[in-house]
Amino acid sequence: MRQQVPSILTTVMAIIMFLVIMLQPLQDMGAEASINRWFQMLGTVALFMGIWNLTRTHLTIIKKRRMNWIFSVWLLVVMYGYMLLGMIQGNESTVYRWFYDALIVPISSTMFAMVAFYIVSGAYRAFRVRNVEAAIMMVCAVWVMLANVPVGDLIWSPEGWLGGMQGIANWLAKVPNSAVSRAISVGTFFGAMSTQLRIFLGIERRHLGMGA
Amino acid sequence: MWEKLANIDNRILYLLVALCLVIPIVKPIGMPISINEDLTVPFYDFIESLSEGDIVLFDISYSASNDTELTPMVKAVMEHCAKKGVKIIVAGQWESGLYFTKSIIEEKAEELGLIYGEDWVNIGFKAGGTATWRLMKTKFWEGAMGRDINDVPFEDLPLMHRVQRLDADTFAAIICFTSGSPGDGTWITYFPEIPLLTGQVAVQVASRMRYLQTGQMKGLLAGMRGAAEYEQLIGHLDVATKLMDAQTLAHLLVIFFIVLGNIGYVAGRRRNA
Repeated sequence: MRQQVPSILTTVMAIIMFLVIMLQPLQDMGAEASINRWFQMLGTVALFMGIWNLTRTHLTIIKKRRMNWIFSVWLLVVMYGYMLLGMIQGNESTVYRWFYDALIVPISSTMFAMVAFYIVSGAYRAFRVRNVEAAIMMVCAVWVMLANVPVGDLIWSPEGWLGGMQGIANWLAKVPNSAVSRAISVGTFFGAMSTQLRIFLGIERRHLGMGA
Repeated sequence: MWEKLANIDNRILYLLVALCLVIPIVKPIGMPISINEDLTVPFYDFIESLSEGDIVLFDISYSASNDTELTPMVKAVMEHCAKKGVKIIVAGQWESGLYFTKSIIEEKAEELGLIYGEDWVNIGFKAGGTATWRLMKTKFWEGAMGRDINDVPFEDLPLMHRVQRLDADTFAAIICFTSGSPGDGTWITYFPEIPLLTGQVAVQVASRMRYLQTGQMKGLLAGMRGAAEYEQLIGHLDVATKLMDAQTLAHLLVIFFIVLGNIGYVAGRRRNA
């Protein structure tokens, strides 16, 4: 029952959504807006489910004293502490705002900024001209890097032949890059569509804990 | 001896990166920046083509980690819109993005002399993902819960009376500043009829060029360079222009070390052959 009901609900909803989007009379009746309102409410409910799930998972880790269980304690303290602070004082209060501006913003900026160091180290150690393909990739990468900074314009001006370094970098991004990117996307979407169809028809049931 | 070039200590690399990033910020070089005709100019021209009173939607879909690249774009585009008399509705698909940029946008609006409720409104983050935006397509107030980021009812905000639907008749453009998902995909998929302009973090640009080529995006600002170019176009050089020197030196350093590493690699291979 726990597996069949979700499977039936999925199929029924898929049919309803298909009809609502395809049939104009249903659209005129405001059916899509009603369904979207339901989705909006479910999205909000999902937030609470996320909190509940996170709490349950980390309480289990703490109870069983698994490795690094102290971090789970910290996670729950921070999550509930910050949530309560926002609920009691409001999310525009000085203290609540301070935690965000003085901790979350600089920490997340620092984490992202540190990538620059690893990129330099990674590029230095991994970009080796081992074969022709690697050489082509390296030339393109160096070209695009130079074209994206003012020094590229000084080497070969955009007013020059072929639009300079920037013109060729734009061509690389627009033509070969776009062609490959589209091919990957088309493949991905075909895969996603076939998976959706399998779920809608009840063929794919592994996400419900049943065999395919 | 040459082989050693392929194995320089990481600490030296990190120190040089830090110096390349810090020195130009402390003492800017001021390198000239050209404007990208394929990316930045179409974006600028589109905003230029808007009429006074047109409404655009700013979608803030990034978090603090991408502040350096995207916030200068938000400010520059906001300034351009203000100069043209274009009204701005600020919204966002990332809760953290709107919370983080709220005060920045408010300060910029104040600097530009924009009146809240008449020239711009920040409707804040709305939960529910794409379903929420699709609901706003036909019932904007209902989808947006009828209240702005400060919990002020839309009834009290004159600009919001003009915004009943999220469609091409109401909005002249959607300007999405994004560093990931959800982001421009929402607009490309569900709102193809509204012209879309985007500000992207540099790492995403390659995957978005195809949308520019097909016309699904009318313009694209690429990373900090895009922001710096836009600052030049509107004639207000700001933080992105100042940071371009640091980016230039960092790029040159990466290239230098790639070349150095390869010299060491080739030398080592010859020796072993």
